Amino acid sequence: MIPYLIGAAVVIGVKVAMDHFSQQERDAYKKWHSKRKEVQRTIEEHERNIEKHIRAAERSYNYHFLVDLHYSSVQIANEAYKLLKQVDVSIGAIQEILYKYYHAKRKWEKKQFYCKSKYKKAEFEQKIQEINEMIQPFSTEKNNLYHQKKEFNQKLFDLNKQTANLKYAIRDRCGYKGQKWYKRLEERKKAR
Amino acid sequence: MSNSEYTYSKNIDPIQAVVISENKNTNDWGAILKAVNPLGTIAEMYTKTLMYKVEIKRLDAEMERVKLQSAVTMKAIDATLALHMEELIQRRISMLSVFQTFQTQLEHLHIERKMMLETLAHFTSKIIENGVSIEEKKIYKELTFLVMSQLPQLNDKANLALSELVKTIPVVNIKQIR
Repeated sequence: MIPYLIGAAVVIGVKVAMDHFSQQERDAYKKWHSKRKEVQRTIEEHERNIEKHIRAAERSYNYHFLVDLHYSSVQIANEAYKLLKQVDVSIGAIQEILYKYYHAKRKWEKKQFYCKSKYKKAEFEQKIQEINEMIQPFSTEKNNLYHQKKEFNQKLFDLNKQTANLKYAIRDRCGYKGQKWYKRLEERKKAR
Repeated sequence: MSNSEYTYSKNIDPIQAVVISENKNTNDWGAILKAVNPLGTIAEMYTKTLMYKVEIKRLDAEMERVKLQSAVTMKAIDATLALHMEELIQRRISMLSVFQTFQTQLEHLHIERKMMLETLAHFTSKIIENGVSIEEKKIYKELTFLVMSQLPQLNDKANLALSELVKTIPVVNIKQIR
């Protein structure tokens, strides 16, 4: 009887021990599994945060970069506009000079028309020719200035177009800061 | 800053996978052997429990590594941004001096041209005036041609200066900016 009892006790003991260790193993497995998931979640979360940080840094840089470009573009367009106005002033001055020559030329032409003497007519003709000689370089210069004005106009148009593109890029690609900047710019324009 | 300028990865190194066999699919002989030798099974379960615990410790260390790597990456992003911002400041300063030089140059060109045109207007008056001698008129004409020959150079200088100034703006493909 006793050996049977011992045998039964051993079997029960082994069973209890096996259950105990099996439970421990299952608990450890669960903990390990949840820890693994936690680490994975943490990695994903940090990756998302890094991506957000990169985007924020890019936006911040793009904002400052584009605002600087916009400012430079406006400054250069202002200079181009000034040049355009200076060319206008030059054209005006040359036109005044030309007006003086044309006026003098008409005076000699009139005198030549009403003059009877052949000698005097020839003298007037020479004066008219001399004035024509003077008119020619001024006319050329005036044409050059018109050509330059056209070039400056084109440059000004391109610069204004570029400035506008930069303005919209700041509004559309630099987040809230860019939108705020655009709004301020438009308000300043309206206030002018 | 184009996206390519951020060369570091947003990805954190993945955790190392450790395979712990769960021995769910032991064959019949294995099951019989286990039944015959329960201590072996207990030893195996104990070993596995220890392995899980060791693995949990390793994952804790991995977690610390992930946090550290993340912090380092964040700092690298901030440092890169600070560097690029400094470059912008330097560019702004250099642009300011370029503008000042350009404005001074233009101002001089404008004054020079204005003076030349005033001189030419004066010469013109003298050339068409009645009381001026032929010799004097001849001199004024020669001077007019001389001054006139200088005018295109001023135009070219102004053109060149503006072109140079336009070149200071970097060409940006706005569509590439995210």
